[in-house]
Amino acid sequence: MSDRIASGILIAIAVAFIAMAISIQPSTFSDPLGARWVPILIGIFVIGAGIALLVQPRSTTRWPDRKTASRLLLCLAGFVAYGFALNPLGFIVATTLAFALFAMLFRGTPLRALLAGAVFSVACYLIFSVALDLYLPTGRVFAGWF
Amino acid sequence: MELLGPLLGGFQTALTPQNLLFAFLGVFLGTMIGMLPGIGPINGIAILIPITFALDVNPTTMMILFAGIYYGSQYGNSISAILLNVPGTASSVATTLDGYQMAKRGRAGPALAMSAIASFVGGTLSIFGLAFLAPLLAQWAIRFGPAEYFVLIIFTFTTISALTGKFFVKGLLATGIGLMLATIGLDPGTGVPRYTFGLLPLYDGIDFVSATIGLFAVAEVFLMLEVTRAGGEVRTAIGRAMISVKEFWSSFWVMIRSAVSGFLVGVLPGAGATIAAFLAYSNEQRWVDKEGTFGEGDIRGVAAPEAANNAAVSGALIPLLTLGVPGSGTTAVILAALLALNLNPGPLFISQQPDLFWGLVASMYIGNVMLLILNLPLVGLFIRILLIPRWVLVPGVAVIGYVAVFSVNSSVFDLMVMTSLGVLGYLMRKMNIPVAPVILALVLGPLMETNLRRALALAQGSWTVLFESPITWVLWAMVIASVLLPILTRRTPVAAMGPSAESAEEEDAPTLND
Repeated sequence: MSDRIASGILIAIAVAFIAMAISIQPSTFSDPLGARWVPILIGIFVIGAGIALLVQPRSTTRWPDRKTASRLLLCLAGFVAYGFALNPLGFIVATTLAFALFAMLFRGTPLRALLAGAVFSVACYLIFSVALDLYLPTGRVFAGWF
Repeated sequence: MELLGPLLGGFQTALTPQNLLFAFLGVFLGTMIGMLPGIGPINGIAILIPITFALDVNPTTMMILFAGIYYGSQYGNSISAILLNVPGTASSVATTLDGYQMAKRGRAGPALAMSAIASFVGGTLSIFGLAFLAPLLAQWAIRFGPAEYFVLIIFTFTTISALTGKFFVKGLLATGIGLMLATIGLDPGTGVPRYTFGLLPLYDGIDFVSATIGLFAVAEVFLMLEVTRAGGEVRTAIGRAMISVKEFWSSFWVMIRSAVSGFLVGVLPGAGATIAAFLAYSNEQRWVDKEGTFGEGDIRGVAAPEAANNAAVSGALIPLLTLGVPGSGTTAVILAALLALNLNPGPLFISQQPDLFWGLVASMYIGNVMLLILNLPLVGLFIRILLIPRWVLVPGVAVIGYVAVFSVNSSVFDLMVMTSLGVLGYLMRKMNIPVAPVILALVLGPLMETNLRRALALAQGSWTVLFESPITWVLWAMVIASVLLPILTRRTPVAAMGPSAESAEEEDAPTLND
């Protein structure tokens, strides 16, 4: 069933993909193929492979139960929140919190998770920002502090 | 052909302090990356790309580092295979069969030693192959025009679709997904924006670092959340990591044969180290296993896959360096890094960049010696890394992946692209759709389109140009063969290897043997 649903979604995406390719403006360059034909061919290819899977599904997928699924969603929310927290909170605070959340999802105890997160984020900051000179945000909330 | 002169020059390049340091860093990190389930050479290299760019090291040093990670991981992956029955990367799945049995019988020390020695034999023998075959192939490939390149890339797509994963049609779908992602951004021919939805960050296309870390590292975090069991207990009491002279000679020809076959399999696009290891294992089982002891802790069952998967790495570098057309996910990421530095691997690459090529070859000899030392007397130290609890390890990898993606453009948008692709990678892996073809198609898609359009432009728009030269006929025949074989036999090589190969979905995917 999962195979059928996935191929259905992919076919729908590929149809939209082709429709968008057709509406690509032809350029003034004299290029025999233009910008739209390769995407159209790719779309046709995906539709073909999608139909092959749709008519003959290959395997069944065991999806996680409700409890595991909620942990997965929490993990995903953690990834998204981490990205948006990076600039306002700064690398060290955001990383400590994200690390602690992930660590607790993998059954670390809260206190140890927070502690490991703090140590890890400071170590990363020292390695990547101080030693390797990569840009990591210090955080808007700390703007006036330093 | 003159080999000694350029090779000596290569040693001059490889022996500079900076290159020695990066070779050591590469093999050291490679051993660790290979050993830890959940992170393999492909995301290891992707994480290091922004860091090496920021350090502004020269391309030769960068290649020495990345190659070190690639072949170093083939040493490390057997450590967890033997001690935990969990392959560090998919290419050591075959090593678990006899390696873990040996460890269970208290022979972990000899198993680790055999794996290190076989890796060394496979690694060093195959570098000869690389040094010898690459210049020859380059000379031959000078005749490749845009039409030939286009068909060659199609061949790479069909073989990787057929050889990774259990179902050919799912491999094709993965390639299609990668090609669709590759069209996002400004069209390479005319500069028209495609599929950007008016979002400025998409004009440059999907960044391959974000894509690789998302599809492999982030997806792996999700997958590991589902797995509660984490293999057996770590055996830290391994005894002395040594084998007897008798054991060495019993495996001698096994290693030589496996190195040769592994190297040749590695050259083929799509096949790579996992298939090389399984092929060597089943060949040796047929050839030398007269008593039927393979699978019950036979030391030759460790020697065969370990010699083969290391040899396959050197083989995989050949199409990357001489044609500019990589055959696996990891080599595709290395190509993307080279392209980002405005280096275009191809038939003239070795003659234009002799320092890079011969320096790399020489550094691989040095790196293999370093690895032998790291993996024989010092293996006891590495084993302690396996004691790091998962609740520290997994968040650590996730955070380092985040830093790497963020440091490319300092863009939160890239982080969201990475996270979305992490979800995509999770769904694909759950459904037995291989992920490596997505990366390969993402990197090769623009090259495919450019070559097709160039070929058609040169031929005034006539499609027959794709079928005119004898080289294209051979390549089309190979395309047809790679499409027909899995359809006619109704199974892909990975599926044919039986249930033990199930987690060997793609060459570089980090796997948990759950």
